Amino acid sequence: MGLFRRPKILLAIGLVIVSLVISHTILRFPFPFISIKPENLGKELIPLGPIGDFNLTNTIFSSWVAIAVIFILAYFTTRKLGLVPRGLQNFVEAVLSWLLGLVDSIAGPKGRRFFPLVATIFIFVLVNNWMSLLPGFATVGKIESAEEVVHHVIEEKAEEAEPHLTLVEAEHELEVFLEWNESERTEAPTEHVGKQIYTALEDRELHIWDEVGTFRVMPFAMHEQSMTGAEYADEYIHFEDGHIEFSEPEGQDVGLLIPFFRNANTGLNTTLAIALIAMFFVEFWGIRSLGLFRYAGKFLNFSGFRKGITTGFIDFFVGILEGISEIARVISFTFRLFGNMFAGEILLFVMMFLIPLALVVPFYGLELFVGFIQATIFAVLTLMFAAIAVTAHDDHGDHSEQTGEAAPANPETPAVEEAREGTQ
Amino acid sequence: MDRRQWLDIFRLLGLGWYVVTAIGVGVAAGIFIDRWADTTPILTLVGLALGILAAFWGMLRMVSPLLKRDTDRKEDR
Repeated sequence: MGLFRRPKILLAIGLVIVSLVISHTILRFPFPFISIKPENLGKELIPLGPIGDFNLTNTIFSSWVAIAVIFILAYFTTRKLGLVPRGLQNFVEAVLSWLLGLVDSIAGPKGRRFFPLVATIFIFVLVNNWMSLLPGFATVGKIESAEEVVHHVIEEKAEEAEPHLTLVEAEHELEVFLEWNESERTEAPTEHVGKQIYTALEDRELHIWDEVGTFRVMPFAMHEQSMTGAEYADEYIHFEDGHIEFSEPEGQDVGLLIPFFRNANTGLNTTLAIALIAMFFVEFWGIRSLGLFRYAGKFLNFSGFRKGITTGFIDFFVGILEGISEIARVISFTFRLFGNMFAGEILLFVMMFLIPLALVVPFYGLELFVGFIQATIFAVLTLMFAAIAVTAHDDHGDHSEQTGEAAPANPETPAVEEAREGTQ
Repeated sequence: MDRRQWLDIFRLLGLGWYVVTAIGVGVAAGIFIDRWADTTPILTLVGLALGILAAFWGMLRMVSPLLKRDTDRKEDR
């Protein structure tokens, strides 16, 4: 076997084995709790008064940080502008001129009006994606104690439950009873509640920290620094007359980590917001360049009836399909970005859990790539839809008649076509 | 690879999600209206059919310029 005669390969295999051994003995990474919903940092942090609670989630917080980073970058880039770009200005100009070239080659010179939106989306998404690979993201945060975990779960269940569960919360204590009735309060079925608490906890791996300071880091820890929810429930939760008491091991905190930072694009809210903004501008440009009635005619198309009833119905049906695909675009924008970034985060977590030292690094590289690709796809597709929206529907209608003319038959890519014709 | 081909790649990369969501939107809208109007399962099936049609229509719209350009190139030779 030639494989074993090569020292480099042997060394690599040895390193992988050593890191496997180390990672499963000393540096075992606890399996993280993965939640699709962005974790809530606090309802009371930003009071909105009568409007309601502002749920400051970690994704929103991270997107604010990303915005701040972009602002700072813009400030330092434009502070000393030189005719010959240098340093930071050179870098930013290179990125922007690449983007401008992208816009020009898809939408043509007229497409420059799309540039601000497309570049904003690209930069915002990219900064968010790449920032999430920095140390501190998803690993530094505050503790949500086992008690709070149970409170949240029971709160959610109480709203759904039939008859309604009513909760009275107190420090280290949780009262659960079925009605406001005093007598029933003492007879609350602890088994029922206990089972709910058990199911709320059993599948989660809780982490254990020493009681020091306020901020916590995801424990890169030995086995003793985590316990399963079921173990915690058996040992530290006591039931008594409808009262549930929580306790903790001495000098230690038990709970889940609520990270302060999490990639904004791993929350559906951010991606949906960007998608809505993008599609709003696409429709806006479409209406502005074609006029409201001509643009609406794309979706409610009655013009075909002049040519005959069958053509009319087909054209009308095609218009409805256009409408559905317009809605589908918003959702596909939303879920494409969300799905890719969330899957990437889970991939990193799982790799960190399985093979902490050896296999994480290549996946970080992969995520760097995916983050860039997703930002580009979002920007390019927005640009493409905008370019389609501002071209009149009639241009698309009769493909067969226009096969001779390259440019008008391909209204989405005028510059591409022109460039190609020039080169050939 | 030049820039044009890269752009085509990005265009095609976005396609899969589009097909999935177009069908999903059709079915979801069908189920929603079915529940509201109590006509289960007719409108769900109609929504499914519409979603599939919209998916293929949109896919064709996005791909046809690329296909056309490809055939043009062959004819040019």
